[in-house]
Amino acid sequence: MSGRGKVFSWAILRHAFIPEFKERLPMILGLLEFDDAPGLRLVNNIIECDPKDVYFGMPVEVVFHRINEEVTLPLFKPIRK
Amino acid sequence: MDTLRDKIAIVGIGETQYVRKSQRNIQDLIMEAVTKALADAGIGPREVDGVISEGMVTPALMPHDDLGANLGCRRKFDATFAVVGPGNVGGSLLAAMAITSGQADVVLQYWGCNWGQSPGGPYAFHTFWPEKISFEQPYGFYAQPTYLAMRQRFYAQKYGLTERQLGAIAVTHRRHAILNGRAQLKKPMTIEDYLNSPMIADPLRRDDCCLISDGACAWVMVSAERAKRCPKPPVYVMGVGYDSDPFGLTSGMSQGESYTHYECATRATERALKMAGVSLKEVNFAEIYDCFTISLLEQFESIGFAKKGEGGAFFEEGKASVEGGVLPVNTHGGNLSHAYMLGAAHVVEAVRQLRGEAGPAQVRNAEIGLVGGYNFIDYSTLLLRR
Repeated sequence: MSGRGKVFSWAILRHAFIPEFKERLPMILGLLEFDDAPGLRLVNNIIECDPKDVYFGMPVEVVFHRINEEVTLPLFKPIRK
Repeated sequence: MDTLRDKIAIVGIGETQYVRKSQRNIQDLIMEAVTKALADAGIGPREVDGVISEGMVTPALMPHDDLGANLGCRRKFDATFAVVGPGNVGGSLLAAMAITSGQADVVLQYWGCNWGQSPGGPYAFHTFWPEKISFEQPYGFYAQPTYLAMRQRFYAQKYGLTERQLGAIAVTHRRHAILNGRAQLKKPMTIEDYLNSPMIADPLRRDDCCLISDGACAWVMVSAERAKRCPKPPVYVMGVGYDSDPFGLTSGMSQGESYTHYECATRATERALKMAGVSLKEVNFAEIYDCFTISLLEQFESIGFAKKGEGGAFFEEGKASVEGGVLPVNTHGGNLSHAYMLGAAHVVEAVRQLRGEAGPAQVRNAEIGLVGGYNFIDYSTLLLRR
């Protein structure tokens, strides 16, 4: 996959259902779709983005975030020209 | 299709008080509801010969065999039907099949939940599946509001839904809860209160979300013939329909072609109406599973009570209010304000309405009621009449 997608829908998480996430709030929860994987939607976060700047169809690209030696998380950020 | 129409009736209902967190254990609560339902039906515990429940939550809390032992009854029929909402609402389909085929004469259906007492409560559902733990939880997708919030935003954009329309749904439910006198939430809510309630996952607010409740419900079903000999007015099962979409609970919340509305609710309703031999126009009131204001709205439209995108206006114009509305919805206040019993209390409320026992929340001339039981990927519609 190209790693590039678009925002299908999103929400701004403001309540820490998982207490450990509290410092990360507000978090942009995104449902993303991909031209090269039609019919699939990915649940993910949109980072490096102000919550008020998200829009339907916003192009995003994957960024791999290394948490530790064992865990790398794919995250998505807006494609900025 | 019409062979089961009006063949059985609900003749006894029982429920516990609903609280956020009970001090009693769930088996106690379930037995209280069951005992009350049998007393209401004028039927002794040993006469029960059929036991049904939904299949995910209830049997883990009170297995059917334990229930049978507590009642001292010999089960000749024992089954679970679907899971949670669709199971609670569609279970009478199984009872109708068992009773008309002569397998059992007295079928008891029950539900209980103790998420108020359990760590994680209903949100812990998300930790059942490794897929959710690996692919969703690290991103903060934990708890149903995170999924429904995105759905709400998508629907609002597509149909022009306003916050005030969603608020009208919440306010109507709270008003009904206050009228019924037995609800968990009795504090009055204005539209301003709704708009000021905290954002949980923007655009979804706390007052868009249903309660967490501990409690139990039960109901007793017998043949239409036998029902005439029971002390309370019978409530006949006219029709039941169940349908589903080809997704699992792991993926159904994010995948699925239609990201608004539920085709399975439309199909389940068509089949229930066909069995019942009536049209939607003849339904006087509806108890529809309201885990969130947006999910209620989508079901309301999928069932066919309003065209897609027009449900919000229906509620905003007061048409769903038990005080003068044309089609009262969730006359008890629903999962939002009465109690979160995953559809079981919606069945009990429909029976109350059709018996004329709803007091200040009574629908006038209640003849036929519809109950809708929702899960993300399947649905049951039940039609009851007096």
